[in-house]
Amino acid sequence: MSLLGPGVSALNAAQTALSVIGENLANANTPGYHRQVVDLTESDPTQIGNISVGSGVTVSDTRRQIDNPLETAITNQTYSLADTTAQLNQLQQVQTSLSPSSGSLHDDIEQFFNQITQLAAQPSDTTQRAVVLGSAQQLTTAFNSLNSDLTQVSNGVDAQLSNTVADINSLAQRIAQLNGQIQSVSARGVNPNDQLDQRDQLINQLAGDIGVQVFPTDLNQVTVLAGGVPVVVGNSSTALKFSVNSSNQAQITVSGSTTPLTIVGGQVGGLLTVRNQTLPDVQNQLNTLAGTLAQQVDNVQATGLGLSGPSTFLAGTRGATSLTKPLNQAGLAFPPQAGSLFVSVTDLSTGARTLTQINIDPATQSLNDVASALSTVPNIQAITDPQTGTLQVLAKPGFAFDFAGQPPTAPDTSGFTGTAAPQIGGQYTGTGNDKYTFQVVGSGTVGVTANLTLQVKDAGGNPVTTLNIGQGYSPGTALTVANGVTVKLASGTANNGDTFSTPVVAQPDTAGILTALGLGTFFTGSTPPDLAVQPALVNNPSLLAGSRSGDPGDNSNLLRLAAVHDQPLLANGTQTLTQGFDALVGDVATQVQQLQTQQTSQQAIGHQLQVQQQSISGIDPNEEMVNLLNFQRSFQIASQYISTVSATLNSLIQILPASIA
Amino acid sequence: MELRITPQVTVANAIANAQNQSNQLAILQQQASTGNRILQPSDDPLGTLQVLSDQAQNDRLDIYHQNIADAQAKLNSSVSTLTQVGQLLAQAKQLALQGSSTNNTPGSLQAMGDQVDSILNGVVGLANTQQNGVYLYGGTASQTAPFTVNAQGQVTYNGSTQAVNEPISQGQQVQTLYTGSQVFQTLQRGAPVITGTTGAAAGTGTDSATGEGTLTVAHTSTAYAPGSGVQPGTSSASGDTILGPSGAHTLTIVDTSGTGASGTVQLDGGPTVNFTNTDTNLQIQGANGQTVFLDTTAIAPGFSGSVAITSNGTLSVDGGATTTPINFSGNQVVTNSQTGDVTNIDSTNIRQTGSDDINNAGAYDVFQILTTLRDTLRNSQNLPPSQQATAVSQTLQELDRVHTSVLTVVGQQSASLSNLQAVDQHIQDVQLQTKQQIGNVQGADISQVVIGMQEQQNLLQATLYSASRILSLSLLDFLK
Repeated sequence: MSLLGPGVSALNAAQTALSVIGENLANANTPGYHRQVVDLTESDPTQIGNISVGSGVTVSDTRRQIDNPLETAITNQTYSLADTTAQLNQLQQVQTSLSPSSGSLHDDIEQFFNQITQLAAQPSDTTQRAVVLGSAQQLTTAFNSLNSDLTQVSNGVDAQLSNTVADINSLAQRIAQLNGQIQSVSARGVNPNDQLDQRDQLINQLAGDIGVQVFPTDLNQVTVLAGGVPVVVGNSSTALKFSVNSSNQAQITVSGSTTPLTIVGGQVGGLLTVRNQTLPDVQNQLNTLAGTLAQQVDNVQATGLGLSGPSTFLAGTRGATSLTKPLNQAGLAFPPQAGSLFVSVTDLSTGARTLTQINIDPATQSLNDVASALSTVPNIQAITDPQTGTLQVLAKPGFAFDFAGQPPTAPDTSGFTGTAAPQIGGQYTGTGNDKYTFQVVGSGTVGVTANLTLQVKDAGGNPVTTLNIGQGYSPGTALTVANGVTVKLASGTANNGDTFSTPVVAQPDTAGILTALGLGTFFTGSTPPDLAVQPALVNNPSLLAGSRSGDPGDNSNLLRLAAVHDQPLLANGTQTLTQGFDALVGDVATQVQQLQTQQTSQQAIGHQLQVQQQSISGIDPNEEMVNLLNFQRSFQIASQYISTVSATLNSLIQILPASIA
Repeated sequence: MELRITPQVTVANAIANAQNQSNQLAILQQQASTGNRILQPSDDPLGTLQVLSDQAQNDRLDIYHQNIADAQAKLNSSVSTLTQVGQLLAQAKQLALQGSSTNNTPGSLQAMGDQVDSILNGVVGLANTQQNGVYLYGGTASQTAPFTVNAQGQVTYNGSTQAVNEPISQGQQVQTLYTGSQVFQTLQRGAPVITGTTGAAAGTGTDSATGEGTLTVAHTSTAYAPGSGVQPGTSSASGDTILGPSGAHTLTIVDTSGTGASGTVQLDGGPTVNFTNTDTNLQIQGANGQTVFLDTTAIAPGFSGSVAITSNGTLSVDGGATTTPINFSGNQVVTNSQTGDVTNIDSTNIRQTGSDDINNAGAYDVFQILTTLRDTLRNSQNLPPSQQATAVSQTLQELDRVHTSVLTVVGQQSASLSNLQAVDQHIQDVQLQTKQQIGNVQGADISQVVIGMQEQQNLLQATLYSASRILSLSLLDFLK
């Protein structure tokens, strides 16, 4: 009865093919589905005598139409795109925070310095002083809210990382399960096409979360590596864990291990880049900016005078962690340098002012040492507060102190034997600290004796100028020495070789100790989020140090403050504060732009890969339709064949006796 | 290999293209509605930086513009104030000119003095002018009235010696608050003029006294060369008016009695006076009215001849509060204990006591010269009419000088004002330029945007239309 065999096999084959076509059509829009085709082969022939007769058709396999290198390329592209997209999403948030459509930090910095420049035109105007302090508060608020924006982005990234890692773990688990199923099905020699599709789909989902490498193993199983460790091997998976370490770095580890994995690609890869590199970098730059601004402004404020003149009490606002350790190991945000501090003490009853220089060496001196050094200055006393690590300076009753570095009212006349009293005046406009020594050449009476002169030398002994104080000099008239300093001699005698001297101070605090300890500074705190304007200043804008002389119309210190605006303080002395911030905005914008370009090209590549993949594995209903017709025809023909064979056999049977039939 | 195109591919293509085009359309729409090409820094990082720096420049120029307005207000106020001061000084000059004529009656001079007094008050008021709560002529001490008048009618300066400069552009400043001395107290000290009868002359040293002063030359003691037996009389210390080193004045004694009982005595060749040995306080006057008091009780018998006189005295410029002994040998520094100012006197030729007038030429400030003029017109020194007229005319030169110096400041401030205007104009030009630049970099080209929108819209329509056409093709349509 071998005649029926080929017919039956053809019927079977056509039925199988039709059901595969049905499957294809049903899954035409199923994600991850690969077109399946039936492989038809001739059945083994039957040997009849010396003739080999075919025995019909066999469905040898139903195969997925798949191009494995292409699938790998899609997987790789998936995690690259996910990486880029994750970074881009976060960076766009950072960009919006840095440069909102109105009121960016850029404007606040500009506004602050512009208001100071305006105040310089009317230094005693209390309204404008309040405006300056208002803009300073706005500036600190902007710094602090920017900082909190960045912290929020960082926290959001942490939450996403945590969720994504959970997703990775569940995907890995399902992939491992499918591996198990595939293995058992494959062991029976059957192609588990549907499970394979499902697993490949899950692997692509996993690649969206994290960069993966997929290695096929026996029986259609795969080993999946993520971050260099196998997360799926056979039917078992390894869970990953997200954590933040002590130095505030986010890390992914294998559960139970503390070694951070190096993750490349996927959402996790992108988020980790943002979390551990981009955000800290932006935050550091902002902190540097805020710190530099605060430090510079504080230096000027601390070495000037407000409208009410010298202070009788000042309490530091920046504490050291230790009273006894050297200052450079005392945890100060603005560490002082080796240098000097000039302390002016004014006798309030006479107006007489002294100027004393104190040397500060942070490598050897502790806060207590600085306090004792300050206490050696007559009529003031400095004490330390062990609770807060701060320094407090107070004047004895009837005295007041300041750090504006004005020359003493009386020069040092220990080397002067004549009767003509010298007096120093003017405002020193030089850039460095110096000491002018005046020596009388010739002996006689000031204003009378011919060829009576005063030779002026600087601290280095270099001649500055020579002034006539003899005939032709009207005693008591101010003579210009240099850099805004004037000298006058009252009528009287001056003897050859007589000297007097005065320090002239441009930088009363070269050590930066006032800023380091927050004594009479503009700001409290050092970096966001705890940068703030000194509350005393906000309550009393007249304390804003507009001058060095204390005169209400003197704007010398405001001009110094305004000059901070144009000083190249950042990026190794190449950028001003505003330029520094602008550069940061530009940096982030460039990164966003690069990521956008990268994303666009990755999307284009992804699209191309999808098209190629579809071209191989996609379902074309028309094609299936044609195949459907084709196999329908086969089925009809096979049926016709069987009917024909049956009819043929029927005629034979009719020949045979009924008993046989 | 030909690609197999499945409906999924068509759909994916259609979706991708439609999304891309809608996205472009949305961007263009946002550009059109905001007018900005750069919506986010990442749209054009370089352009963003340029816009940021241009805007910063613009904002800063706004402030400089305001500062310039502030400086202009101060300087304008100052120029008009000083112009008024100039007018008042011109009036004072007019009065001085009138007062220097000898035809005035004391009454009219008094009236002129009163007018000068009101001018002085007017100038003091103007010198204390405030602009927006700030004194214009006190330098950095801008909150204190710079000039006050004391009970004696003297004007003192309470301001600072430091002028105020305001920032008006990057690296440029303008002086707005002048110090009082810059405007009202400019000195061009010349040689002082000493007028009087004492023989005192201006010394070689340089003075620091200003304005009008009085040199009081007083007598302290007289001594006679030994031999004649003549002694200073009892009123000598207070009454002698002669001064000079030994020999500057001489006494000629002739003992006519030969016993010292009586004779004649003569001072500097003046009238001959008889004496007796009972005179203890004999007043003798020389030809010019110089006076000595003698004690002739012990004239050497038979003495006949001349006796050299040494007569010492003191100098004072503060009305005798402090005195300096005269050394008759050249320059002497005399200090005013009230002001600390010094006056140099050449005492070599001082021969007589008296009060000399010191005119510190070129060292009058506005207030001093007005005070001097007022007092001279009111004749507080009780000068005879001709001398009063001369004294009034002497003030003219000083009035001229202070008038010029005030007008010089007006000139300086006017120059500053025109400079300010130029700077302001420049600032406005730069602002216009930066605004244009910002527009160029940041602004969207609206026509381009609109055309772009139309283009994208067409493309989107084409995409959707073609997708709908392709997707509607199916073999099923042709099977029966």
